Formats: sequence, structure tokens, C-alpha cells
Amino acid sequence: MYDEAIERLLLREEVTEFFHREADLLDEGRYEEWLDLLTEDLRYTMPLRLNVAADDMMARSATRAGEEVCWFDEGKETLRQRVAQLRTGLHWAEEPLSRVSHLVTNVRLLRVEGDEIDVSCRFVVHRNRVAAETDFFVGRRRDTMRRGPNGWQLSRRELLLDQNVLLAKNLTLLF
Amino acid sequence: MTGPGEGVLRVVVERDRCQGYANCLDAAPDVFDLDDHDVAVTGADRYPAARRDELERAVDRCPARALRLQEITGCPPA
Amino acid sequence: MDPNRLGELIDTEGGVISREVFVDEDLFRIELEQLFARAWLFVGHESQVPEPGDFVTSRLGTESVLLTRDSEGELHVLLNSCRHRGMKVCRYDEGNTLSFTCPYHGWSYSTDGALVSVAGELLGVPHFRPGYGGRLDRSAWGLVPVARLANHHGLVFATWDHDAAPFDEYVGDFHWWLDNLASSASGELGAITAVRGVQKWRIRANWKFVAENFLGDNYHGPPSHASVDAVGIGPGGTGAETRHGAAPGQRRSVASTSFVRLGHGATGSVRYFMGYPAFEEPELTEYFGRAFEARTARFEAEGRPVGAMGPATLFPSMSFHAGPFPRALLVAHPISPWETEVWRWYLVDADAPPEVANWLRRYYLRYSGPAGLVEQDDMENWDYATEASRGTIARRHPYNYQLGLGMTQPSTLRGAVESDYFMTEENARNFYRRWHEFVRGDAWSALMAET
Repeated sequence: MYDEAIERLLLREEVTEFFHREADLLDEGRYEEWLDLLTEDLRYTMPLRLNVAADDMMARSATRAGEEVCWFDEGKETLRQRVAQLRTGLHWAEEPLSRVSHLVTNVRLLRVEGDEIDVSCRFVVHRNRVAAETDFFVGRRRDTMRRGPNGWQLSRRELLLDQNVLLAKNLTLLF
Repeated sequence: MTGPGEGVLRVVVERDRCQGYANCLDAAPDVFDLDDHDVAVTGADRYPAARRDELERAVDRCPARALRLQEITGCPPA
Repeated sequence: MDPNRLGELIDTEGGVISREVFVDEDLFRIELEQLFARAWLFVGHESQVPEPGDFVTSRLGTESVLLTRDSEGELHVLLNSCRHRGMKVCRYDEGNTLSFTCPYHGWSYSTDGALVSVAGELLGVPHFRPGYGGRLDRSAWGLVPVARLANHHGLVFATWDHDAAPFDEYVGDFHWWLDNLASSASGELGAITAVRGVQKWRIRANWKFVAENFLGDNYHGPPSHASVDAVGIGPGGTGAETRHGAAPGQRRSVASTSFVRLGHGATGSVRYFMGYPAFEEPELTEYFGRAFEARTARFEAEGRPVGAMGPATLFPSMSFHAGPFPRALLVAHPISPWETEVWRWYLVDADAPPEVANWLRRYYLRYSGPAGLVEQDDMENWDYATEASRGTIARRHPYNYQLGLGMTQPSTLRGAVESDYFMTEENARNFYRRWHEFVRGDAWSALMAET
């Protein structure tokens, strides 16, 4: 029992360290190193949140990734394009670059099956841009990670942003 | 008034839900009334099946969904 | 802002437009009264409310409205505000109900034809007898309906103004663009569906920057979207962009079309089909290839012109790509002179195979909207253009709208001109001319004269 508990604690610490390192890479603009943390078959989604009646909450309070309009519903190839666009220095929405901090918290292991795990957490991403433009993005995240020869990689990221109308002009951020 | 043992429908009023819209009175004035607390009451305990459509209309018209129709089956008490 | 100075703000002959048009608070208030309360505005697509009882909340100008389908299957647009104390009777984005009961004092409205004679009528109020003596005239206190509603092959529009010109007259020959927007890739009117989910987001820009972007601003493309081509975001990936179906030797875009009196504008013209791209996915190229053949045959048989793909703007604030590819639309909803809420709908053929619909959906999401690699740069420009135009000194210096001045020819379409060069601001000049007519309060008889 005790050994299991220690194992789990160490694993959670390992995953949290992964998330914090990820945050550092993104906040420091080391996007290519961040891309290396993603598997080639990555699925990266952020559905829209809808206001619906209590009875409909389960089925209809978010759009369905894979079928309906989302903020993001893409793979690693599109994320590569986002990074490449940032690197051109001509992507005006991020030129000059925003100042960003990713905070990751409430990390919990949901499922541990050998070299694959599901993790739940919360994110708070703060962005300050140009002079007085500030955005807060807060929400839940559910990630699937796989451990390979080079360590952990992210194979699935489901983001649930706590906004209905997006209160920001863009989502140039990598979450 | 219907006599004992006649008719097959009862109108049930959820008193806590009733808010005195009085739409039921409009739909079936000889069936519904409002008591001293402005809550709907029915004149009789049961109504003939022939009045089903009219009673369903009254039930549908309640914005508070305080009414429902109940089928009464089986032998009346002796 | 002295309303008598309105005439000085717009100089279409000289191609000069005052910044006040974009940042002045008094003008904004006048816009709400004279433009958004009178013009035809887009509400939604009928596929959003397929069944009786279905509703979605939408928006006209600054106001929330309900797009509902009643028990008989008819569409209605109702102001989302209780007649008693104004509370929003519905704060859901979508759902199914034939009655809307206000959470505040319980006033209840119905769209059930079995219960009320007019959709949105006041069905009942609590304590009707002791409180109102049974005397409240419920028929006079229903949810406020729009004055007119038009369903253009599935595209639903509305106006609050009982005197408004009929929709078909308001649109004029610009209808070719709306027809294409409402059609499948093979050109079948009404055979499209809106993918579930409307993107809604806030930008700190005046709504007219958005409208102007789509109505004929080819000029902004290369500088604004410089980062796009380098990265291969288009449908063909990083391969050279080839287009199928365009006439041999045809330039990318030969002219823009401007409706001089009506104010609508489009990039491109009705005469030229700009083709569809070679997609990275062969099944997409195949799908559009077949659709193009069907479209060509149908249009010839029905006498529809081959072009009218857009992007385009229906005056004042609804913009779109009419397709066959891409097909999407947006509305720029005003909040203040310096803030706008943009809504985006994405459209696919109603009977598109799932793989095609899904590919299109994902393309739209990475191209347009706040997470769209292309649209993001537009919004940066609109926001900071608005901000930098608000200052006391900045406002004294008008914008230059002289691109393509005097460089037009008549179009075959009624009341329209085509630009000599595909980059022009003629469309914008006429948009603001029309804006001025509405904002100074011209009656509909004057607005529609010689159109």
C-alpha cells in the first residue's frame, strides 16, 4: 500500500515537473522544444462552451471535438504551422511578442496503465500584450501522455476554457 | 357535479407550483377556480373521459406546469 | 459631434473619410438609431433551428434576440427582453421549448400555435386575478417581434423597421453572392448546413473595420498576411497554389464589384469563377471537381452567372465567403465605437460525406476566427487602428480612401460598377456613402431611389 502510494506520488511529481517545464518552454518562446514534447499523432482540442438548460448540460454544454465548431481541433502539423508562423517575425498578432505566463495546477492522475497515463489539471494563462492589453485564460485540461525512449510525450490535450464568448481578440497562444 | 363512480380523469394540482396564472380558468371555467390563496382548485374530483381534450388544453396552458391529468382505473370503492 | 457636420465626414469624390466615423460616441449612438434599427441584419441559418420548438439566441445590433421555430414550423425573431421589467427571458445559447418564462416575475410567453395566436404572445402572468383583476391585456404585451423577417434560401434576415424596403430590393443584384452563399458546392440553393457552434469573440475595434475588410479590401492581403504564405496554411499546403476551374490565363482576381447606391461590395465579380484549389487531400479535390461540373451545368441551365464567390459584405455588417470553397459568414455586432463582438458561422454542404465536412471544418478553424492563423493578423490591425485613431490630434486627420479613385466601369449588374484593377477602395467609398445616407436619417423612399 505504502509503496504504491509512494510510486504514485513520484509519478505525479514527474508529471507536474513535465507540465512546469512545458510552461517554461512556452513562456520563454522555445516553441520547437515544446513541439518535441508532442507525439506525431497528437490530438489538440478546445471546444466552445455553450449555455444550455440543466437537463442538457451533459450532452450539450460544449461542442463536440471531431464534429462541431471548436476553438482548436487539430494535430501536430497545425501546431507546427503555428510555430513556423510565429518564427517569421511577420505574424502581426504576435509581433511584438506577447508576455505570457502559464500556470498549471490541480494536477491529478486519472488513469495509469503502464506507459500511458491520463492526467487532469487546471491552467491559468496570463497574457500581456503591447501596452495595456491583458487577457486571462482559465480552464480545465485533460491530457494523455505516453512514455517512450525519450521520456514522456503528450499524445492528447483536451482543453476546456471557461469562457462562452471569447473575451480576447485572438488565441495565438499555445496552451 | 359528477356522481360517485362516474368519469375517468382527475386533475391534480401541484399547489406549491401554482402561481395563480389563471390560464386554466380561461380554458375550462367550469372546472377550475382559484381559492383564497390564489391557488387553482377543481370543482370535482373526477371528470368524464369525453372532456379529455379540453382538460389537456388547460393543463398545457399552465406556464408553471402545476397541473397534470391522472387516469383513474379500477373499481371505485364500494 | 454636431449632427449638422455629418455631411463633412464623407468625401467619396475626393476619397477622404473622417476618423470620427470610427471613434465618435455621438455618431455611434446615431448609428444604433438610424442604421442598426432600420437596416436588414443577419440572424442565423435555418439549420440551427431544424425542429419545432428549437431556438438559438442571436443578436441584432447591440440587442439579444431569439430565433425560434414555432409549433407549426414557422420561424420568428423576438426581442429577448421581458415586457415587464426587461429581464432576458432566455440566457441559453440554444435549446428547445415552446414557452419562455421569465425568472424575475414569472411572465410567460409562448410560441405554441395551440395556445396563442401570435408567436411570442404573453401566455400568462402570475396572480392574474387578484393582482391584475383579470384585466391585463395579454395580447398587447408579447415579446417584441421584428418588423420583417426574410428567409433567403435558409439565410434568415430581419429588420426592426416596418418601413424598410423588402429584402429583395434591399439586396438588389447582390443577391447572386447571397445565392451562392446559400448554395451547396454544386450550386443547389438551400442545400447547406451550419456546423453546430457559433464562434463569438470580442475585439477592440470599430465594427466597420470588419465590414470593410471583406467588402473589397484586397489591398490589405499581402502586407497583413505576410506570415501566411510562408507557412503553407492554404488548402494546398506548401505546394504552389493551383486552381481548377478558372478560365485559362485568368488572373487571380480581375475586378471588384461595388453597388454604388445599395452599399454592398464584393471582391471579384459575377463574371469570373476563380476556381477551386488543388487540395492536399485528393478526395477533396475530387469532391469539388465533381461539384464544379454539376455547378457549371446547373448555372448554365438556370442562367446564373459563374462568379460571385466573394469575399463580400452585405451592407452594413454581414460579411462572407460565398464558396464553393470556402464558405463561411460573420457578423460584426457593435458594442461601442471601440468594441465589437464578431460572430462566425461555418457552412458545409448538407449532404457532404463526413470526411469532406470534417476536413472543411478543421480548415475553417485553423484559417478563420480567433484561432485562425490568417484572421489573427487582421484583428491586430483593426484593434490598433482603432486605438490610434481615438486621440484628439489623430481624429483631425482623415483616412485616405483614394485607391482606385475614378477607375471603374459599369457592371452588367443593376446599380453596380467594377473596378479596373483588382485592388480598389471604390467599394469602401460607396459603403460609406450609404452609411451616411442611413445615419443622416434618409427615409426609405430616398434610400431606395434610383437603386
